[in-house]
Amino acid sequence: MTDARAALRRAGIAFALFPLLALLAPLVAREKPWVSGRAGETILSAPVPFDPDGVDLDRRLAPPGGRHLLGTDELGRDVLARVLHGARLSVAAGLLASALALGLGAALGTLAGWAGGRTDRAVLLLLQIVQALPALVLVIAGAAFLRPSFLVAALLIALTGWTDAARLVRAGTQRLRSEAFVDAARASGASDARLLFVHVLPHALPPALATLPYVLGSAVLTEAGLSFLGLGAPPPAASWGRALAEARNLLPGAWWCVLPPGVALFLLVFSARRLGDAFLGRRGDVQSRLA
Amino acid sequence: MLRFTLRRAASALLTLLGVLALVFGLVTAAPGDAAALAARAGGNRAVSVSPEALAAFRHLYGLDRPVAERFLTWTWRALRLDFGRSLVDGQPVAARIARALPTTFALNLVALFLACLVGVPLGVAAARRPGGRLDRISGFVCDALFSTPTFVLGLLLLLVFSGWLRVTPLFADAETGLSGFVLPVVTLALASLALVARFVRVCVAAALADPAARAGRARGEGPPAEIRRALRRSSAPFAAMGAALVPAVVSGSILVERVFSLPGAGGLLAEAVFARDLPTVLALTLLSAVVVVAASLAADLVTAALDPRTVRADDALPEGIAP
Amino acid sequence: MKKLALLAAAILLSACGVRGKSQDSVVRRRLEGEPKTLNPILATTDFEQIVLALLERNLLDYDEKLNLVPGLAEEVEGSPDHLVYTIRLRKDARWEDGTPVTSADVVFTLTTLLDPKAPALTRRALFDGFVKAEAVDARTARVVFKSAAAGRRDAFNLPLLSAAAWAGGDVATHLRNRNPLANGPYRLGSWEAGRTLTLVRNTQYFGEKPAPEQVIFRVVPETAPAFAALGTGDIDEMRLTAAQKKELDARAGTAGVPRVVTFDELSYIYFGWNNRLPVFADRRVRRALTMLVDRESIGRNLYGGLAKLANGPLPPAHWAWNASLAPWPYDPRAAEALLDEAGFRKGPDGIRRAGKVRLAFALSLGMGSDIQRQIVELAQQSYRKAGIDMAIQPLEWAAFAAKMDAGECEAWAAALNLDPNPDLAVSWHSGQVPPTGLNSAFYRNPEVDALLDRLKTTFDREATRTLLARVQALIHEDEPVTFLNVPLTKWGISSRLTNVRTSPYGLFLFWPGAAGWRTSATTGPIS
Repeated sequence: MTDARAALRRAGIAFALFPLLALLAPLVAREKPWVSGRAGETILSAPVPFDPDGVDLDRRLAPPGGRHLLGTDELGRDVLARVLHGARLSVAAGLLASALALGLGAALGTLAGWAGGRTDRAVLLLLQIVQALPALVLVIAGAAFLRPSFLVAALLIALTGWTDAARLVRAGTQRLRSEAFVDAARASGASDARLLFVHVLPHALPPALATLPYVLGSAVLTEAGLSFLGLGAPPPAASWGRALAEARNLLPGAWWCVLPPGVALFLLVFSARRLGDAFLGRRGDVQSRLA
Repeated sequence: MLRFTLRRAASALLTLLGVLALVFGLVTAAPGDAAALAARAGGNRAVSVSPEALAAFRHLYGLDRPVAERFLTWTWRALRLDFGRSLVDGQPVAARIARALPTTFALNLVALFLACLVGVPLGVAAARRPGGRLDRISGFVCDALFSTPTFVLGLLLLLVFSGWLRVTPLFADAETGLSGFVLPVVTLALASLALVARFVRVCVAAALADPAARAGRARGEGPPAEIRRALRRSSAPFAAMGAALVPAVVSGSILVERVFSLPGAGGLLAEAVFARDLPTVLALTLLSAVVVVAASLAADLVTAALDPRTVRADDALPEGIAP
Repeated sequence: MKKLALLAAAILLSACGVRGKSQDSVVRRRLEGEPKTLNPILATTDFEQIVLALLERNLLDYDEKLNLVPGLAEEVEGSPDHLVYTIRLRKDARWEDGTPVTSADVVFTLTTLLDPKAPALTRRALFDGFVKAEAVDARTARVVFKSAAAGRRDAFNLPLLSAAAWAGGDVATHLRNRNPLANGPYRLGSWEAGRTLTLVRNTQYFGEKPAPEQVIFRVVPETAPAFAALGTGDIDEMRLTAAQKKELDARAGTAGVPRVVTFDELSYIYFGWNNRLPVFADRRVRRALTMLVDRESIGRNLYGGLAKLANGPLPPAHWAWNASLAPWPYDPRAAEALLDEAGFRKGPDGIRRAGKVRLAFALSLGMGSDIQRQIVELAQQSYRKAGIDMAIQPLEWAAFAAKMDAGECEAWAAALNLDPNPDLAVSWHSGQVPPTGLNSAFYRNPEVDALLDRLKTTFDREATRTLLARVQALIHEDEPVTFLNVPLTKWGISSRLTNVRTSPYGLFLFWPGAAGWRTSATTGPIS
């Protein structure tokens, strides 16, 4: 038991590093010094004293070493600064997309499971349609409609990933709807809404919520795939997936433009999955672990 | 059982229709059409195309008819297996797909087969000793494989094995034969391996912890019988997993196809959407949707046959094994 | 152990794919995308033109210096009033099946080209004013126009369709589109869709036999695998990025390393501004936008020094380029002064505004060009420092085309590839705004309009040069768009290939182009 708890704590800390990194990035990697003197001279500069968007063409594609620990990219921007700031986008995109996916899935799943009958069939049909739809069509056509932006990218990713959560919540709600304790609550006069929110959902939602780490991992990878196809958040936003996709033409020459965002992306998804594993080690819910 | 089957079949048909309508709507409503694209297909040539020529182009391909009419016409023709001609090169859509599909099919099926070949035994072995060394190591490796974007993995493998070590060819064609498929298959297989191994491990472990299994062990059953029972009880989620992995068989490997310069159905679909080539998009979507829906239907029927509880429940999906 | 076995198996398998023909007689080329059709009249994309250049000769071809020289036609003579053109075909021009190329083919080609039902979208513009085409005798055809146009002879840089081969059936969907009848140095051998296209020598060709027996085109969309293939000898030529050129330069001198060929082309990249918008209406603002971009740095760094500054609507490789126009300098301070003068002052948020109008806009960008994206990102930074808010909107081609055609783009970045004798009116005449023409900047200058109208009927070369010089000067003053750079094209050529010649129209679209390439005696792939 303690083993599992220790594993959970380790995985939790590892994963939490990423949002932390995202929050600290503007502080750690910036051109403006931390402490500057009255005359404007630098007393204490930030650890990575470069503007992630600061182009400097004359220093482009410099290999790691010297002033730029991880080298510079094709526009002379410091790779380390860009990777640190990329955390904000990747983590935010992942969180937003997975939150949207789970939210949408939970909402529709609850609707279907609770209402039953024709509503249920309608939602189920929608589920099946979305699952049978080639994700590629949805994503490309969707991107054509909407102005490219961070939000739109997250929305598109969410639209391809909400079905699993919907199924889980639907199954849970359906099962619990006919449980004894719900009947008892209804007999003692609880309204439908109260039954749903106080008695049923607290049991139906957790299996879906437990998939959050996995959905997040998938969302981050999908974002990389979108960037590969040219869709996704517009420049100069540099999520790790985008940096990876854009730098692929520099292989094998300027490997330092590909390796850092690649490793960062990998670690983010990996730690998310380990967290999911560790969390579910305490529960036995099979469906959640199949994400 | 019969009513169950009929209900499911009706639902499958409705799903198909819904998918086609949705795709039709998305592609026609998206800005730009095949005519505008053809006019600029020269890239950035400074040659203007008169509105009359564009109008003639649109009229020629029926792009100026009302959307509902176009949808009905297409559906009616599709029922007679006439999928029309591509807006991009005027060739029959069926021919273009027939050229691209075998590559994707073969690629994905072989990759899936390899993934199962390695993944199923791995998952079973890991499940037998939960928390043991094999379980921990395989879990680690699978998570790691899953966390790598496929196009990165593929590109790295290509550059190392084909560009640097030169043990595999850079391109797959009649000359290089099967060796050209080694790397793309391996890339896809590694990606699927993670999924399969994890899935098997979870299902089998849950089944082994089940009271029924414990009872079996108490009765003195040996491991083989245990495993067999576990696999049988996991059949429902297995079927569901199969149904879920199926869409990839038709259009899921586009990133790998691009990296390895393989002209597959994934690339064809992407290109068709970019070019607003509606007939090709619809035909590929129909194909993909039919495969998915059929697989899902089959999965449901198999589950129903093996586990009668599901027929009694009102359209409830397989809920897994342990609460 | 298992791994070793697998590796051994892989090596054995790859050894089985040994190339049949001797190295000497095959040239392996790369296509960045798959040709959709090999119908010379309907073909639009670059890769289609590249393949067709080896299969079909034109009536008149461009030579290295972009002069029109005889091709299938011995002579194309215009009447004194420039309304009737008489085409005399070569006696020995033949199709690959042995039948002669006749005036019936010419008539058929022109009728097809101008048939409203045939989707020959891009070639039609040159035949504006066409009345009829008739066969005078088997070798002679006459084409009649109702209006005289200065660039008319360029219209005869036209390939032919065989009337017999393409008869019967709809041209747009004809089977021949995938198996054309050739009259050039090569004919189609086989086409493995999506992968390779093999051309073999055309024994019926009237001209000199090309040195390589076979040309194999391979579709490789991604540049990294293509470059690896150039190194292993799997392909013999490809377009290079600046980084790849740098790598080849570093290895130059070693035996067997591909060499780099660079040349000027008739193209330039630019930022387009929609002059109708209040932010872009004042030419001081537009000039400032040009002066805020360090184009020299772009040329030096992003193009590896292989780019010139663009100073107007014609690039330096054009014969009528006005060399006297000094490009606007890179001068952020002067640019900001101009912006202040135009009334755009920095607001509290750092962005300039003139009254209610903020100096903010969205720039649309088509997908596919890494360098364009980088230049746009660069400009975004420079503009931000000067108080201009430019948002970047990457769009896929269909959406981009739709927006441009509707005239809805606020700003855009694009490259423009010009024909050897481009008609500037299409891009700069105020009557040619979308959807009619390509004046997407909605540029309006009555003096330029008048000059462009006069150019249509100016047939004297020197007079044309003078008029074009004035047009360029006026456009340069107005700067309706920001002309950025004229990149030199970089190509990687295998050390096996010799006699590779260049022209401002590229490596392939002039005569002889790739048909004149020869393979040297060295054998084997590069090790």
